[in-house]
Amino acid sequence: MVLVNEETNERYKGLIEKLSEAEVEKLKGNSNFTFAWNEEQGALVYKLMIKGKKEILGLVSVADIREEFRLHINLLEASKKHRGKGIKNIPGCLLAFVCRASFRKGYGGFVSLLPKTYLIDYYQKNYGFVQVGRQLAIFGNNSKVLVGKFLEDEEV
Amino acid sequence: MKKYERLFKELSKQYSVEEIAGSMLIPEDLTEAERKEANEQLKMFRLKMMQEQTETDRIFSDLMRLKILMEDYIRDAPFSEQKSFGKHLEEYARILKLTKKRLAEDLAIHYTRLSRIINGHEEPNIELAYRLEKHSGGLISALEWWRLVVKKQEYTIKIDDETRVNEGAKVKNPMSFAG
Repeated sequence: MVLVNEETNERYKGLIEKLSEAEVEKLKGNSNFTFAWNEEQGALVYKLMIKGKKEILGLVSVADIREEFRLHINLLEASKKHRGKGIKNIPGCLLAFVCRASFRKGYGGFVSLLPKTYLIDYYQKNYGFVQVGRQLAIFGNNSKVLVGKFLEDEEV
Repeated sequence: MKKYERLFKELSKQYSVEEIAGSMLIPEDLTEAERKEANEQLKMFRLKMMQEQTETDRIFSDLMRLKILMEDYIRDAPFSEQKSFGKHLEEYARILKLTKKRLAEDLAIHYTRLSRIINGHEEPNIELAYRLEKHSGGLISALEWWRLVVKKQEYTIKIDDETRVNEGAKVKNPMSFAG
């Protein structure tokens, strides 16, 4: 996974790791993020970092809906430092990571989320989600494309 | 105003919708009843999709899973005979519901050779990796197949002291840098 700073053209190897419950709790009051990530206890929370660095660039919270063979993204956020500037592919990498996890679980890459209406168009056009009622879903080949686009190994 | 609507409006003062969407997922504010209905709609869609899954869909999904398990094994796990090239090839045939004979025909290799590779009695060559890439419709690349071979070779080099000693004995004029 390669992270690209579009302002400086610098490229970094990215790394995604699961946070423990204690680490999720420690996110309380973290001024780099807008959402109250410490309230995501009970969900699967992952952080994106540059390999070898400690700074958290992005977070995603996921629920495993086993009976429906799908993963649901509750929240996703790039740190404020990279909002509208800096490394722009943080959400793409996190979304692709969840799609990959869905394939790994045998869910066929099925991932759902429930964004605000204003954001639906962006998720459809940029990531290949389709609308199912009020929710959005990605699966099958669109999910594979996302994995290939954001996670495939490239030389940094 | 609802929680996430308020947040969106606040962020909208500073960022465009595109910048917000491109950096975070702000969830929709729903009442409990609305959420229940939204979940029910998605559940119906998902269950219908699973019921109507074609054989091609199943193979695609299972091969993607195999590919990802291969990648994770290559990157994160120590070598295991249970995860060798042969074992992955056997799983590949199982997913496609192909007999060894039929798979050997598809790959244009002798049945006995395929069988020996699956059972770990013979090593695959690069040509077979290319053929498997083509056979899987490009889903699992030749490089991914070949990395399984390399993983075993690396393991063998680390533990095969007997061959190291035997081959070393054949070398004349070895350099020595010991003090």
